[in-house]
Amino acid sequence: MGIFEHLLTGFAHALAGPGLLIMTAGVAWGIIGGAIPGISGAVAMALALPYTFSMDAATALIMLAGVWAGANYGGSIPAILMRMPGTPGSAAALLDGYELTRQGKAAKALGISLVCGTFGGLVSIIVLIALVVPLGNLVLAFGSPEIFALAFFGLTLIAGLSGKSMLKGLAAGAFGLLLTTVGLDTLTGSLRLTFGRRELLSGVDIISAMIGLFAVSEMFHQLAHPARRETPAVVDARTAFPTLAEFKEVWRATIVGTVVGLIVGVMPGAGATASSFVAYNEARRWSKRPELFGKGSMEGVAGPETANNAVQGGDLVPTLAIGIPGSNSAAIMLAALILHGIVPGPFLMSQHTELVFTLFAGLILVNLLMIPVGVVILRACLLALRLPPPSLVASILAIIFIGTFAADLFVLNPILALIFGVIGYGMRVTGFPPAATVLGLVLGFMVESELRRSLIISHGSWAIFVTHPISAVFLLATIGVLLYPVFLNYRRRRKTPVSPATAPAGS
Amino acid sequence: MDSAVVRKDVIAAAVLVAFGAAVVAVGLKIPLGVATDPLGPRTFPVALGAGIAICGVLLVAGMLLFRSAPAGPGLLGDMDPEDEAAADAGPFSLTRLVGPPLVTLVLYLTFKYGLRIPVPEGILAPLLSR
Repeated sequence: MGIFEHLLTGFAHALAGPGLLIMTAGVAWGIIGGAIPGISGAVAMALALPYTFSMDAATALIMLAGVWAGANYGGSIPAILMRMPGTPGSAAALLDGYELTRQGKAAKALGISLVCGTFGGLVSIIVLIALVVPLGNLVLAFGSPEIFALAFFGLTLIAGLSGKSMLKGLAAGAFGLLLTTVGLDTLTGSLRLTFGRRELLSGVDIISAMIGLFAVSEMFHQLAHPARRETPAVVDARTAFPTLAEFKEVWRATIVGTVVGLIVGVMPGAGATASSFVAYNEARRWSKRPELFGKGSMEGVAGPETANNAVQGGDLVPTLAIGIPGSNSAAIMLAALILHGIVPGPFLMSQHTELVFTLFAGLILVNLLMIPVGVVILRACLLALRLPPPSLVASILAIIFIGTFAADLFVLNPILALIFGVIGYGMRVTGFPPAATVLGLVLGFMVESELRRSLIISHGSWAIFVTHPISAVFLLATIGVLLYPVFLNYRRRRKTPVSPATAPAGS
Repeated sequence: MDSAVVRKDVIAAAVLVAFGAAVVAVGLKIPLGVATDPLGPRTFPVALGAGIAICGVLLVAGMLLFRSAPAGPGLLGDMDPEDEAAADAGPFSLTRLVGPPLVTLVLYLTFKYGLRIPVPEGILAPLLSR
């Protein structure tokens, strides 16, 4: 079967049964979750993850994709109306979006964000389909040494980039890898780090750990740092779609945003935040009227919001093709696969073709659904933004604990989520990126098993990693990633006096 | 260099070293495995524990050698005066007393009777079973 036939079958599977309803629910929750400052796309997906346990793998992935896509748009609602980005990726949109609100054009700004974001998302999915299939064929040539080297490179790269300190990122990533060693060793059956606890025989529940590190720690952060939230500037906000003339004004910025979002999304470690700011700058550079940026330019909304949504497809290229998640949200998609008994990795495309194409079809559908759901759900978002933060936090914590328990009725899971929430909060306070730990949790099994398998094949000879060219290249790249910050630091100290770093750690 | 940030990093480094050493100590008790498996089940946890401890040592070494504080978020409770005032206002207000229990009750009823997901009743079990 060709790609087109696979895709048509995928559409049939995605729309079967309550598929459309589940997609709509996912997009709606994503928009509302993304609109609430502090709940990023990854947190919204983590909250929805336990509730996908009863669904089949494809439906679960499509729902999470809907939450992801919805959150990308939802974050722009408070950014435009209240000058407060709901998600990090929407920070660039507030520069001109809020100015448009002050000029009485809030509805238009929301409409441009919604329509251009949908365009960026759809194009990125088409590019994803075009890239993943040939890449999936390429990785069929990978053996255990290549898979280990690739996973190790991806982990080092992302752990190193996910915060301001590479050492802290690597330590956090190592902690995540360590957590995957808890329980029964699959190769020899030995018990590791269980401390005699029966509950740890099957290891640390990755879902509970992920929810704790992302969502519970975020709730603790919001309790510890309550911020005064302004009420929405426009109480009766609505969405107004751009006219043809307005489309002509923003088409250049939309194309720029799509290209930027795709390129940045494909790079592991760089996400929606980076892509939206790069797209904003590029849109201004390519604009016929750059002097309007910062003063209420529609291009200033179209560019970053398109990039924000185009990142989704780019993020999924390394995720689906080679099993390395490009962002926190992609890591949650992989966790959903693990939850449903599917081992993510380079052979996902070849071993679960039907699942992958159903996901492709679902991604197209959820991006299309964003427009009607986005228009209808706006009022609910404004109501959510008016909720007092303590009540919101309490409700979300309740959802988290019930969800983690309901996944498999194991009372340890909510306790684990709480423990990891405390750990995650402690990591945030001390500058360790919880995202690197989550990545270690997702990739840990692949890293260890392929390493040990490679050495079994080579009868204990480590030369197998350098005699295989692809593996050697990835390991060299890993060394480069580790040494690059040292080199940059050395060059900076030669040029300027030492000064403390002041930027906050990445999310 | 902000002394509070340095203090936090020193404590974090100490925790890393202690945690890593503990993992190595526990990991060395794991069986070696079979002859055909060169690494065995022990090597990975021990190596990771050692790696974490080394990261802690390097963190301190980097602070001493380069006199730069790796970036981190603010201290717990490090709020602006305006935010502090907002946080301190009305701990026993009607919204704070009634709101959360009401929301909890609604969620409990929704999950138990609406979605049919069993919810642990904990200390309320004797009351609810009557």
